[in-house]
Amino acid sequence: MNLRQLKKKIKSVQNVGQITKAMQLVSAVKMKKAQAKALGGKPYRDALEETIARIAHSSSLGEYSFVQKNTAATKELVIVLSSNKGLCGIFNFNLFRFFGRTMQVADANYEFVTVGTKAQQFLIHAGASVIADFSNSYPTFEESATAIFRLAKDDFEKGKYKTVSILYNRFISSLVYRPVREILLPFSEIAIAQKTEQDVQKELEYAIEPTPHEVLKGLLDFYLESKIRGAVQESEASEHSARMIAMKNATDNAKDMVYSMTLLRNGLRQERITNELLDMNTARLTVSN
Amino acid sequence: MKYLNVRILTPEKQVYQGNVQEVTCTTPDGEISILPNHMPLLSLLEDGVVILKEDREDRFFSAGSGFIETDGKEVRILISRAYGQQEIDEEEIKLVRERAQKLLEQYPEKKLRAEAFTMLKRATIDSRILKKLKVKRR
Repeated sequence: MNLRQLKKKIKSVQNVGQITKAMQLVSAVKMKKAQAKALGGKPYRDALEETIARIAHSSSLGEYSFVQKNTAATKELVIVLSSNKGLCGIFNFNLFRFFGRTMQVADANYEFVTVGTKAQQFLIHAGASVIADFSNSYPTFEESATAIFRLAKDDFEKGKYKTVSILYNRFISSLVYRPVREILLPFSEIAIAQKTEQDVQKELEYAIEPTPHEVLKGLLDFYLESKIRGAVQESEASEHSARMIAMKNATDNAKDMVYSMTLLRNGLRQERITNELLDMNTARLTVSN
Repeated sequence: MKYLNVRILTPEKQVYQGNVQEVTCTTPDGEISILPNHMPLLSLLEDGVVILKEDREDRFFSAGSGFIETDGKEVRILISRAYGQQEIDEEEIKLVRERAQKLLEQYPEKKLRAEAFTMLKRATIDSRILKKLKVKRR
């Protein structure tokens, strides 16, 4: 490589580095926001969950349509949360690998609802049946949480699905996120799993006003929706953190490249100067002789 | 003196946590007050005022709909939104009220009307809190 080409290359790598640095900073800000949102709602969701677990046994939940299993149905509905944009490292890839480990995507027993074009593309490519796509919600996916909730609830109540679950990257810390699959419906699976010995002792007869039916119906709806919303928020926070890390790596790489190329450039430049000096010296010697 | 440990939670954040002597809130059947050692209760809440009686003063919250759960020692209030008394602005209430009334006068679609109604309802709740605060200050 000659000197001019090398200089050009250094320049372009520097430019790329600047862009990735900017993207990193933007993602960091977005992540802070998304993180605050996701964590702020956590006490609320936890409290709802606890409440449900507590009353699940003190009253007969069995009569509600979405507590019971649809024994006749064989299909499973999976809601997948991914991102619309790339450049976020292994964020989406991790999710898809998780697919490969846990289920047969192309199996006719699975139907998918996708959020984010990456998941949509992946699933369609893999030959899965995607029944709905919520990738175009503006400005964030959170806007479509209610719509997803309606769709899942209605279809489940119609007896179309055996279970409804949600697959997303759970936000653990600013640097860690993990793909998980959580079951949303039927409720029987959740309520029973959460019952610990402590709960049994705490179990009390609750007075439910105005009527158990009204309260529980509202409560369960509330719970389901906030769970979906929480998942969407966490997924978004994870996406931004993933992008931030990916962009940080890219910036560091660019810096390394610029460093080594600058050394190379200096070497080449020095070589040229030395050659010129040698030429001049030989020329002088020839002339003086 | 016995206390109730109260938490007010909304999907955005935890609005309040503390020990109080009495909780008053609005259910579909009317206003209820909860004292320590209340029987275990789970109830729906309507848009309304939540009053927490602390040792020294009363705290008012303008609350959205949701749930209240208690076992006699702890009270959990799960609602769609909650504003403390400091966050209520008289001017803003007036504005909201005017806007809602305008919407109602124009007889637009059903959905917008429902929205205007909730706006009006909230403004009324907020102004009720303000009134209560003023009475107290005198």
